[in-house]
Formats: sequence, C-alpha cells, structure tokens
Amino acid sequence: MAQVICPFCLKPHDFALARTCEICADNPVPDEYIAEYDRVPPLWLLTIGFSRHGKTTYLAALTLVLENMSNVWEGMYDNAYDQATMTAIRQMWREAMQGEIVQKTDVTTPRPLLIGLYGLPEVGSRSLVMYDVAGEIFDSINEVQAYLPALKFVGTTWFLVSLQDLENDQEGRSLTDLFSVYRKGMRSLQADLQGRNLIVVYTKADQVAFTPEIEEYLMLDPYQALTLPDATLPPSEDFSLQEYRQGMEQVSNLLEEYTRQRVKKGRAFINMVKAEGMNLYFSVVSALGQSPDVSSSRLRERARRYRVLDPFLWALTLQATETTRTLRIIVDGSSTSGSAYQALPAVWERLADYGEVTTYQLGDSQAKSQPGQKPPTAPPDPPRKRLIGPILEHTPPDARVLVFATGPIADLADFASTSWRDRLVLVQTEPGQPDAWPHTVTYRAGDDPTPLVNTLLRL
Amino acid sequence: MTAPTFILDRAGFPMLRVEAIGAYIHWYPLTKIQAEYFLCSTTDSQFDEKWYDDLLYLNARVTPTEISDNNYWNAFLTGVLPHEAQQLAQWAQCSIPTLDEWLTAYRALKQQPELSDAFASMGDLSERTRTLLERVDAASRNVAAHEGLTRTRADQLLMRLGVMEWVDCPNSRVRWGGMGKPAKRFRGGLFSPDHGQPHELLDPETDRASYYGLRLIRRA
Repeated sequence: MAQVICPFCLKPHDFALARTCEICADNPVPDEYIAEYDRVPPLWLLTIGFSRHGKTTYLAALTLVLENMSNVWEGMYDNAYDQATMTAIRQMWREAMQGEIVQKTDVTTPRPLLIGLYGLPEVGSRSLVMYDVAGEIFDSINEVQAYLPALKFVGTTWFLVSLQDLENDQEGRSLTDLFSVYRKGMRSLQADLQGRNLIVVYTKADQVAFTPEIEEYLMLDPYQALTLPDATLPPSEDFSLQEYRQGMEQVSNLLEEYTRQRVKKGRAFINMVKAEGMNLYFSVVSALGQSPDVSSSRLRERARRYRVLDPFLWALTLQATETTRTLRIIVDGSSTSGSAYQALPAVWERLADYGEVTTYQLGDSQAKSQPGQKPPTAPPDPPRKRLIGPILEHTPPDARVLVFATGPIADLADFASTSWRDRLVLVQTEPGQPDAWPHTVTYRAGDDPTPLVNTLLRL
Repeated sequence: MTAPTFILDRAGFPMLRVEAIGAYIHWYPLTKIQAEYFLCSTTDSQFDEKWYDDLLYLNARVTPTEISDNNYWNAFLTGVLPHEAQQLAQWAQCSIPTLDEWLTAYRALKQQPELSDAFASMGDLSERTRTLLERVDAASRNVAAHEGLTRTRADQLLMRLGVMEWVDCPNSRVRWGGMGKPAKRFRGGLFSPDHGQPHELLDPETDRASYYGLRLIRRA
C-alpha cells in the first residue's frame, strides 16, 4: 500500500501499523478510504470564497448532482465513506428537495466530505476529499493559518465568487483582495504557489449579465435537469470527458476575457495569479438556476442546476494531468557520515508531504528506500566514496534533489554547469570546507526543516 | 569507406567498432567517471572509499570542464592492478585486450585518418561525458601538435599520448604488460607501441603504477 494521507491532518500515515492516525485520534479515518487508497486515489478539493457568495450552496448542488450521475454514466456510483459525510449529504438533499437554501458554513476546523466515486468516465475511481471552509476565515490572515492545513496540501483550489455580490460589496472588496489573502496565507505557511491550479468559479450565474456565448454555454448544460424528477437525460455513450473539457476550455477563455474587461480589478487579478506561476481556469455555475425568495430563503420553482459539474470535471482532468513531484534524498555513505543520518528523518518526513521521495546513499546507484518507505538510518558497511554522478545521471530530468554530505563529494563539480545547478540543494551537516555549490545550506539535527525544504521546492 | 559504428558502454561512454579485431574498443582509456559507475554498483568490499582515495592520490581527478593540455590524463583511471582491471572489465561486460588485439587495432587505426565530427556519431551522450570527450580531444590535439605528431585515428583514440594500458600477454613470461604511450608531462619515457613489444613492470600484480590504466574491448 502506498503511503496514505490522512484526510484530517493531511500527513502521511502508515495505516498498516495502526488503523487510526495518531494525530487525529478523534476523527477515525474510514476503513474504505484506507483500503482502497491505491485503487481509488484521493481527489483533493478546497473551496475559498467570501461569505455569502454561494459556496456552500454550490457544494450542496454538486453533491446532489454527483449522487445522481449514476443515472447518466453507465457503471458510475458513489459511496459516502463515513457517517458524518452521509449526514451532511442527507441534509443537503433534504434542503434541496424542500427548496430551502443551506445554512452558512460554521467557522470551525474543516472536516472534509469523504465520498468514493467509482466508474467515472475515462478516469476510473476517485475518493473525493472536499473541504468546505467558512468564508469568514479568509477575511483574516491569522485565521487562514489556524484553520487550513489543507490550503498547503491541496493542488487544486476553487475560488467561488459571486460577481453580483462582489459588485455590491459594502467594503469594496475585489478578486485581488481574495487572492491577496490566499497568497499571504500560503506564504506564511511557506507553501509554494508555482504550478498549483486555481479555478475561479463564478457562482449565481443567473444573476449576472454575461456575454451571449457564456449564457448559451450555461443554458446548454446537458445535465441541468439531473436532479429533477422524471427528467430526460442524455445517454451515457454521448459523454466524452475530453470533448467536454474542450468546451470548458473555450468558456474558460471567454470568462477570462470577461474578467479582464468587466470585473472590478479583474485584469490585476489575472496578472497576479499568473505572476505566481499558477495555472488559472474559469468556470461558471448556477447551483439553483434562480435566486431564492428574499423573505423566506426558499426557491419559487424546482431547481435546475447549470454547469454544476464543470468545476469538478476541471479538478478531475487537471489532477489526471498533474505529475507528482519527484524528489530524491541522497545521503552521505562515507565513513564519517554519522551526523547526516541524525538530521535525515525530520527532513524526509517533511519532504514526503510534497511528493514521492526516493532515498539513495552517495556512492551507491541502488535506491535505499522507495516512496512511502522510511530512509536508511545508518551508513553502509563498508563505507562508500562520496560519488553522485551515477545517481544523478539516472535521475528523471524533473526531479529535485537534496544531498546530505559531511564532506566534499568527489564528482559534484562535474554538474556545476549543468541543469543540476538549479535542481539540487547541498546540505552540509558538519562544519568544514563545503563544495562550491550555488545552493548550499547548513543543517543540523533538531533544526526546523521547513526552510531547507522550501529552498528545494522553490528551485 | 563505411561509416564508423559506435555503441555505448554501461556508463554511457563510446566504443568504436574495429573490424580488424572483430570487436568494439573504447574511444579513450577508461575514465574515472566510468570507474565511478562501477564503484556505485559493485558490492565488492575491496572497492571501497579507501581504494578509490588511494588511486586518486596517485593520479588526481579532474572535472570535465577543467580539462586542459596540462591535466587531461587526470581524467583517466590509473593505478589499477591487473586483477582489479579484470573485475572492472567483467562489470562492463568487456575484456582486457590481448597484446595481439591491442596491436592489431592500433595498426589498423594508425592507417586511418582522424574521424571528423566523431562525437556527433556516438549516440546519446550525457552532457558530462560529451564535455569530457570534447575537452580531452582538444587538449590532446594541442599536445600532439606541440610534440610534432601527425594525428591518426589511433592518436585520436589516445593510443599514444594517453596512458599505459594493461594488455593480456598469455604467452609471455609475465602475463600482464602495458601498451600505449603516456603523454610526456604525465609520464616521461622512451617506450613506443610501434616496436610491438609490451612494456613490463617488475611486479605488475602488486605494485600500483600511477600511469597504468586500461582500455576495454567488447568482442562481437
């Protein structure tokens, strides 16, 4: 079994040793989530938005639509992994059937919805781990830090924004404000934004005067009637995820242009996101197809839900193309390498949060631990010459490497003018004459590994 | 004239097909980088940290980008004993050439002009390997010019101006001899491979000679 990420603390945990995560003893991780982890990998989703911008309503609609997709996609079914998720879904369903809009999210530590989604077309099965976070915490940078370990972990984030509510915002907030809070939060968590996916989801689309092309796209949603009784639905074989994504890409481009031209500080927002190296996409949904009655918070007609599936399908297809970070730790294998092994465990543990870590020893081209396995705890016997070339020359070109050494590496200088210059961090665990390497860090057992790990991830 | 044929060895270094011996032969004597590949894959405890340090003491290492007319022999592995050379050869799925094979290849290559644009034909070389090959070529070309040598293909392969190379002499009084001609600044001497007789050490099995390296062949 691969290393399983606990959905509550978002730390890797070896559930073969204990079925509960020691950090999250009060939140037992569902057995099915653990047992199916390899076959049904997680799809992590995190929603961010100002309060009252329709985030929770949208998530309720999405849950309903997903539950009903088995009527359309042959072989697809869903399964709530735990009682908390089941209760939440039933509540959402009840509220939707009765036409009441769901209540605003409480400001608490996020507990994700855990739903197994099986037989999704073209991608197979996924464990949906979906965090619905109260909008208020994004009003304050301190609360972001306190409540959101998920922020750092999840690669795809949804910004749920109601343009109508943004326009009428009493405090004059804009998309750039939302992104600034997010960015500050991520920086304070020492998390890198580069390469992450940001999907801007415009909610309450029925209230906004979009361009005719965007409105047409909304209204042509083949699944808009999915949650209505006796609805006529398109046959399963008509669905192609690739073709559907092409449509989403086209409307994303239209929405980006709309944002640039028509949304307050929209151009600046796009520039900010792209300057961080994030992948930016746009989506538009109407979770209810209408505005609820102001006095009663009830709908006046049965809800048609437009393009509710799009943000989910974006996340699904983006995750399918995401590559896990390939990380290598190469640790000294010489006769004087003891201090490197004292420093190694904490760094390995932290680095494993960010990708698949394989461990080697200098002077040995055979891997000593694979992703999910703990690194070696002692130098080899007999000791090995500090050599790195045969390891580096068989390391994938996208990998980043952390090298723990207690003295000079005989052949490291061979790579000083190659692309390794910007993909390798040399960690000196003892004072002395270090190799002349551009990214060299001194680190000792007991030091905080965060700056070291961030140095590597920022390369 | 047929185009030269190359293969790459386990460390990604080129070997040239020499029809006169029906085998591939390393383009250069074995480099330290190739030996380091061996060190990183062997589990034989005799090839430990100290073993390599002792060899580096005899002939220091040079990084490929620093190779020049004054040090290009530092790129090659020397100081190895014959039985160690055999283990290296076995790992590389190659052999140490016999005296006859070495001389036949030398004489055949000496009749041929330098290969122009040789590195382009060698296949998928790593950046480091390519740098080493190119810089050794440039440095040895300068030294050959300085010594008034007309370079042939044998010289391009550093069968002269390289290191002394172990050869297997199964019918001789001493099994292990040397062929080649080290660069003067690496090791002075009047030995020439053109005489057809191997260079002999007094105690080749135990004395590490700082100028003795090896070149391997793959018979096929």
